[in-house]
Amino acid sequence: MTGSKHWAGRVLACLITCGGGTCLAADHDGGLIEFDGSGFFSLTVGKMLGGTKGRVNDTDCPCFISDYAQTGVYTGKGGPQWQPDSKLGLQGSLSLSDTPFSLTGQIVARGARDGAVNLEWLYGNYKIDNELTLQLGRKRLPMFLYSDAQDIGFALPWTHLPPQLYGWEAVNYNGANLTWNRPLNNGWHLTANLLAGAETVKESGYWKMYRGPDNRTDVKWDAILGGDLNLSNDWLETRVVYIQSKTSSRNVTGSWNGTSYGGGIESDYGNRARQQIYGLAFNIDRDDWLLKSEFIHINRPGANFRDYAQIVAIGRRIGKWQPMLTWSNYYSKPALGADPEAQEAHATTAITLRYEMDTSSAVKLQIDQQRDKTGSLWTPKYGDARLLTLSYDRVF
Amino acid sequence: MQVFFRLNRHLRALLALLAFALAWPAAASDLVVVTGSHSPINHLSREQVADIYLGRVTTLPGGISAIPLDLPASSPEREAFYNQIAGKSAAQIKVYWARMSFTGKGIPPKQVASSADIKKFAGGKPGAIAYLDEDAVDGSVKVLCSLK
Repeated sequence: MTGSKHWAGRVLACLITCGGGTCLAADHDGGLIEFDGSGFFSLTVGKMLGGTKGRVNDTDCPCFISDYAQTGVYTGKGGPQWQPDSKLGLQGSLSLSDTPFSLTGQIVARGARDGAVNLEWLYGNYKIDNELTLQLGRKRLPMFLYSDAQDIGFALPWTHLPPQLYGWEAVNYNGANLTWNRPLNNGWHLTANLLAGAETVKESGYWKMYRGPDNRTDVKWDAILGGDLNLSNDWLETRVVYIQSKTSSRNVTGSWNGTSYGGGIESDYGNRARQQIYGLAFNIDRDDWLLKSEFIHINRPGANFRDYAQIVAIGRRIGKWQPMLTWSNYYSKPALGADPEAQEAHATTAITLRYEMDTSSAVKLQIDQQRDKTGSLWTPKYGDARLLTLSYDRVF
Repeated sequence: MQVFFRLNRHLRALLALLAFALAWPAAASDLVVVTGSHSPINHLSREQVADIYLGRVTTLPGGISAIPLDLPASSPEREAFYNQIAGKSAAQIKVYWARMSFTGKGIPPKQVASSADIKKFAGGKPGAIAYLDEDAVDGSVKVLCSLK
């Protein structure tokens, strides 16, 4: 007990005196406790330039959903808006020197959530050997290539992720993952990752996009099982992913019906439905040319529609500048005899210009042009939208 | 007219010389990868160095934990080093590490302030490796790999 108090005191002293960067403190056995503090932020300002006007889903449009999971929406009301994509994240890692254990936590405050601080990551890391690592705790669900880095604006080529692809109910999970890293011959490198866990989302941001900004829908993903396989070299990155889970939800407040909330209230979680997620990514970064492509298919066997989304982007690095053209597309395909007119479909073309200010910060300017291709029976029908965003991203 | 062409030729030669001179410091820095003189490691290939500095491998031959060291972001040696081992600029590498370090996939190289700090740190840690200008090598470190 005395030892643990001593250890905790050292850690506290380390945090207070260090604040950020790396600091060391000796524990009672003479080993070194190392604390690494780091962070990132994105200050993003956006303005709607045009699109379909009207009040849709209790929101003034034209409007552009930049982040389904976090309720990031630029609306036609007022002037420039900074909330949807601005965020600040802090990360701390504790490790004991000469041991294979470490502990990492990351919190993120988002403008889209009125500055509320969320615990995004908290996991223990156990390095079994040079190739195998076991992690336990709260982590990002690796549905997409950039799932892990979705908050790190500095690491992304866009001011926000393409919403047609990167927008789903759950982004994190609580559980375990086992990663196998292996360098291959001729500069190739293989990473395989297996994961298992569960996630409950209280007041899902995703469902607010469909049921109104004041709607509360809770979502459960349980029995999550899956894995991803990455094969890469200096200029090529390929990835396949498969994840399956059971999913259920409950509409606590009821949906917006055009005048009020209240319709469709569910007192309990409904049936646990099976879902399967298949993803594929193929990226090239060679001779200053960049190609990014990613595809995903989500199958819920009992549902009336199957989800498909893709992005393709091409860019070029010219000194500190990086222009990029991105096309992203989402559509739901009718199944089980569903009416095609009830299909949800939309696509966005984005032009981004990134400027590297120094080795830790970048400025990006982006214009998104979204086209609504939903069927006549689909609601909410947000319509077309044109958005301008300017971001300053930094890591520290 | 002939004088103009001569001047023009001289001007072009001067500009070429200036461009060469500006490019020279990066091209001329013959970097070597070093470890402390008492370290049991004697050699690393360029591929092994790249794997360690990009976090793909975390141990050195013999099982010692690797502790790669970086010079400050503004140092020309850092820019030249990443260009030579990965074909990427220091800024691109920072983006790479932002994606790795905030997502639980690795820890970036430890940054030290100067070549003198590299020698001091490497002397006390057998797994420490670093890049130095060849001219800065002395008896406190041994060369594992030349990046000429």
